[in-house]
Amino acid sequence: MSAFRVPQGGRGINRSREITFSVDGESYRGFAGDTVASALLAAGRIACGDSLYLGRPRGVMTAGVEEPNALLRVQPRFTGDISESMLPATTVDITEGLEASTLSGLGVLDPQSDQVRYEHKHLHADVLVIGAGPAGVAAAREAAKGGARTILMDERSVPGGSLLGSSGEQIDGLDALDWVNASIERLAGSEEFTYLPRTTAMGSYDSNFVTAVEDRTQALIAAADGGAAPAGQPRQRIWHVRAKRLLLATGAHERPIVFANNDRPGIMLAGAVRHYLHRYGVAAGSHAVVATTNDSAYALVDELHAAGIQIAAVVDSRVEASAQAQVTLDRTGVRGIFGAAIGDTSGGADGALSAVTVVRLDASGLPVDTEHGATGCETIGADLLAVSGGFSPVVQLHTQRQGRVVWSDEIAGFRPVAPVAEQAVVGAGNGDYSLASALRGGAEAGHQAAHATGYAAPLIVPEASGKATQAARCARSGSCRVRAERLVNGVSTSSTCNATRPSLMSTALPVRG
Amino acid sequence: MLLIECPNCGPRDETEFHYGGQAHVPYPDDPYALSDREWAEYLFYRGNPKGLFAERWNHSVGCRKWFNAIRDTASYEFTAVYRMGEPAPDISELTVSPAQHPEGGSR
Repeated sequence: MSAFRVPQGGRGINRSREITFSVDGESYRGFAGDTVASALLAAGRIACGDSLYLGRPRGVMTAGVEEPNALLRVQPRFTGDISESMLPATTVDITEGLEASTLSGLGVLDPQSDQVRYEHKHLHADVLVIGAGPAGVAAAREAAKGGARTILMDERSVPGGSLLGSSGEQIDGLDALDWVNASIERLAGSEEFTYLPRTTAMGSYDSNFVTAVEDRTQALIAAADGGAAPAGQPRQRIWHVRAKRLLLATGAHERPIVFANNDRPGIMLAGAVRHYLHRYGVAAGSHAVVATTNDSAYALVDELHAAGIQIAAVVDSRVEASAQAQVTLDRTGVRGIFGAAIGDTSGGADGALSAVTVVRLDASGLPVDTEHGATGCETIGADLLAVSGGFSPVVQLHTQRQGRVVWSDEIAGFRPVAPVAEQAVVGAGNGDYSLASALRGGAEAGHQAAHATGYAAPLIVPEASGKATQAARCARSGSCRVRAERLVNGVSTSSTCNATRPSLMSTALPVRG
Repeated sequence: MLLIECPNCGPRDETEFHYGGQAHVPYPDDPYALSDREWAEYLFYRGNPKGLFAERWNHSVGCRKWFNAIRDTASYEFTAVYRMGEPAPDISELTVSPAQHPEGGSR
């Protein structure tokens, strides 16, 4: 279909069903299951609306609700619908005949009156789990199996969370996403279990009162089938949930890295590149550079390499390769540049990324001053720069109830100190980034919640296996060879390069599951 | 929104209730014996502790009955609910769960 759609992979799309849609008047084709962002990337278009004030070219940067750039105005999609503005292209599913236009940071209200119904619902639950990633699903399994009334809500259209953007992970001997789907399917059979996809928890109040908004637009579009939506069907639903126990499995957002011109089309979060690769079968570029401060980006290196995408270099701010980094670099033959960072980027006529400038870092983590003899620069051509500055746990629902957070050097981020009364924070939202610890934390919290609400059942912790687990084992044994290539030929690697760099928050993160 | 345990109706949303101020403020035995100052203090002076506080609540859109409650004014947690006329629990014996008192915070 296009050069950027990889032949294999893309478990979220249905390659047998093509869908035609348009963005800015230009027609595109994608597959059922694509978002506007993934279909545009598959068509080789990464640019979206320019920046609001300076008109700088911008491109898709993430694969989720955290998208800062790719904002859309979507024309009515069925009779009685209105046009909606400021929708992230990463969250709008493509539908036949969809007409969208990109926005530069400002939406336009539709003067037509909205004919569609909106409603709210009240619900009491024993256990409310927010987030259907591995930790949330593990928690819901344990909470629901004794018969407690359990609600699992998730902002995405499909469950899996971070597992949607990974491959090769296994849980209880199954492929991780198969395990998630099988778990939810089994739970859905029980009377007291409710799974709410496309439902974003937006407020957490006293006595575990949670408000959430469920987006049913896709269901209406499907039911309308080009005509009018069925009467009485709401487009959005506000859920008011009162839960005896609240389990927050909200995950973590990847952080970008700060450098000059870090907003060009073609610069994306490493996790987003993985997400597009695995969920949509889309390669976000053809010549990639990966810039990282931690181990999580090396899974991307492995996977891009396996998908046949050229990787010019991995630029790592850490002085030496970690065990996992070294294993990946040895296996793939990709060049690793350590003790270095991206200093600047350059772009073509359209502003899209064409090359990155790599600079050596001095002992304090600052770029080496190139004007005073120490040549520390190198330019590498690339149309994709995947950046990973570590992860930040999503703690907003926790802090809204005065839950405290504290800086953790281990994860280089703020993590909850202790859960609020009658709540628990599990998985990446608690800073537990490895799949095994997310499953354990989720299952234990679910088990305790079931016990506390009077529906105790024996605890079974799902077991993780796969490449992330192997890498952790390798790192522990210390048997992996550690070697680092210095950036600049002819410049001796001074001992000061071994100093730590607090300013870049370079930390050894385990692979996020 | 708080969840308040009405002694007659069970746990209900805060919006069903009406607040009635400090509980156990006795009407003076002989109001005519009070000085103006003492009368003003009876009318207007109320406790304002940070922590457990006995107060009156009315389940105004439910059973419409008044009842008393012990509530933590810092965490909003209800630690005891009892009917009008019943003796007040000893506040010094009620403990506040430590998890409800995270250090810091604005309230």
